Amino acid sequence: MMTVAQLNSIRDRVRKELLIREPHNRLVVGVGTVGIAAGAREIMAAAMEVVNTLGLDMVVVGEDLSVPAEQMPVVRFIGADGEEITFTSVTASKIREIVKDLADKVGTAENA
Amino acid sequence: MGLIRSHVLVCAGTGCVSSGCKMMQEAMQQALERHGLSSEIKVVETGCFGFCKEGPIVMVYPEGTFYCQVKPEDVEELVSEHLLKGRIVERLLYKEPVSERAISLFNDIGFYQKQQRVALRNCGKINPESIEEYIARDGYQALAKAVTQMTPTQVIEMVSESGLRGRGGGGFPAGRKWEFARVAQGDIKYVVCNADEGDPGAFMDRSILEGDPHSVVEAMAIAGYAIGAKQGYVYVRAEYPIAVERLSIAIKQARELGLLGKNIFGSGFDFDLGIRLGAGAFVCGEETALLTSIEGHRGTPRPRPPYPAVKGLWGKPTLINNVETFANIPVIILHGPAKFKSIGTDTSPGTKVFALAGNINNTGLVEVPMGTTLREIVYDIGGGIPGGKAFKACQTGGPSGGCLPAELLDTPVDYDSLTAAGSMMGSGGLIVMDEDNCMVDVARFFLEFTQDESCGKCVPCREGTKRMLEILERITNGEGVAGDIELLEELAEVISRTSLCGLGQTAPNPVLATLKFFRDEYEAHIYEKRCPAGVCQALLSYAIVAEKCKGCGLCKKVCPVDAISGDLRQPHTIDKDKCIKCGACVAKCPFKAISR
Repeated sequence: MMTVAQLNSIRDRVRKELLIREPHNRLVVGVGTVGIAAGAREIMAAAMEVVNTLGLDMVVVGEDLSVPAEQMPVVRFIGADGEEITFTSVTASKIREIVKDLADKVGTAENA
Repeated sequence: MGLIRSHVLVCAGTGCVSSGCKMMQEAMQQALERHGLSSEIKVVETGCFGFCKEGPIVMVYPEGTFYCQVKPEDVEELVSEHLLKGRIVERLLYKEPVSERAISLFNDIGFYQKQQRVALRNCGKINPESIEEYIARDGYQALAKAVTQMTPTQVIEMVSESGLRGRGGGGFPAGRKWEFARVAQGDIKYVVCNADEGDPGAFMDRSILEGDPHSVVEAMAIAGYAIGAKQGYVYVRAEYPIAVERLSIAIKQARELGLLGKNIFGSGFDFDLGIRLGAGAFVCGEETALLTSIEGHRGTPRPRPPYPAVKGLWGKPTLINNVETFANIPVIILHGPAKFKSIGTDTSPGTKVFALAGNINNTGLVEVPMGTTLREIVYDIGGGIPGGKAFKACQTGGPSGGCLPAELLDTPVDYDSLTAAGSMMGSGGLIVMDEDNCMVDVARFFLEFTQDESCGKCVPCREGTKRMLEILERITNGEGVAGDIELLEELAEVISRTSLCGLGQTAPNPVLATLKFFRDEYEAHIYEKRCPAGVCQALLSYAIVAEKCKGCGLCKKVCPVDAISGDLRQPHTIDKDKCIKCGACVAKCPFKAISR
């Protein structure tokens, strides 16, 4: 027999996975050819790892962002309210800090 | 990478399966493997997105990019460009027919902008074979609320208060039907879902079962609790194999989680579901015939009363609703009747799903608030008539409905307005016809359908529809005689009044409706031996207008029976003895020099 609490627990767990389909906050990583050459894939992996560990209400998206090559890798935060912040010359360790700094702003997926 | 960063939703409704989505999906999986992306991108099968004309449809999240007509050979580019490098593949986006503007977000596409999805809320959004995805979108919360916080009477009051009317065609208030079944005396009661969708071109119920089967399972359990039934049956056409498979999976999953079976949510309420396959007889959509068929007999109707709510399946009180009606129930229970009533009109609250077909640019499945006008559906959502042709009529209500002309395009779509206009809501078939459709031939087509599907049990339907069809065939063959129209009207009146069931009672409707709005076409066929739309072959006579003909020879080349002759740059002629009236020459002539 399933209880209402068990039903809610499934709902909350899977709802987090489905946030990808209805995202509120986005962290866009520039993954065009230059971005990938500059290490964008590693940055994307690091960003996703921190987002997942902290359970944030934020999805990581790959896009071909057009910025000068010397500013690559680039990451752009787009908040649910439309706020945009662009970070240039990002490294794997830097992105971890960026995501942690954004945590308060985006909140957790649990409360999404 | 290990963590999923993107969901690629592939429409796996019957329409997209027919246009090859499975092969495309396989190619997608292989391409993801090749590019090392299979651990970070999840491919998900969903139910119907509704825009069947543009299938196979692929939706990429989190961007929400809507790709259409994606073929296996497009997949490599889609993966290497979009999924790897984040570049949208513009050539696979939907393009507005007039401006040719490419649109990447599905909400920006005209086809979706005026739609409001309640019954189809999860179709195209979730994997219909995953109960967890349904639960994540508040699935089974309404059942939990009903059985743990509400009495059966309160559930029925909520359904009554919502004003929900049966979406199968009749428009009977659902709450009243539930109340009749609740108060009916009986130790055993049943809940039945009518998924025997039979109108030509209609696939609303199929899409709900394919895209969101759990919504029907959940609603039927709620209905069981409300009326005091422990067993339900879904009667679904065997011709809907994907719907049957997904419904079977949904029932199995619900049983495994204890959402069907004994003591649901610890409330002491037991409920289970079974599937019964119909063999495709149209009459089995009629509720008494459907119940007879579930019992294992030949599906024929019986007189009512007693209504199924009093004496239904195996003589026991039975609640029978259609798929779309049930799909609305969890929303009403969870969000309350006031929210449901805020959509639609006073007398027809909520939304209605339509299968848009015929001579229209955007064919597919649409869900609109009741009260939306036919014009909005045909032009804003449907994108208008192809080839710049003129709108002639739209047929609602399937074979039991009627055809409404251009003057009535501003009719709001709701039960009462459509009936007042001379048609009916029906289950949701909406067929658009342009200037090239002959309304007498349309009436003949629908009558041929109902005559063929008549079960033969009662004389008015069995014999009457046959006689009406014979008259219509005579008229379209150029053998109509004075008095035929009056005879059709007399037969229609008797058949409507005396047939045993809804099929027979409404069978003459297409004739009556076309006579009401297009009587001149009947008269042209009978008295002038002319088919104004140029459809009825026996009334056509192809001829080349010498003044217009430039002698280009295109008609001669395309004629399959060599009936056209003439020298280059000289007016051509048609040998009427050889001509088979196929119309190929008319379609080919660039100078509109061929008359019929």
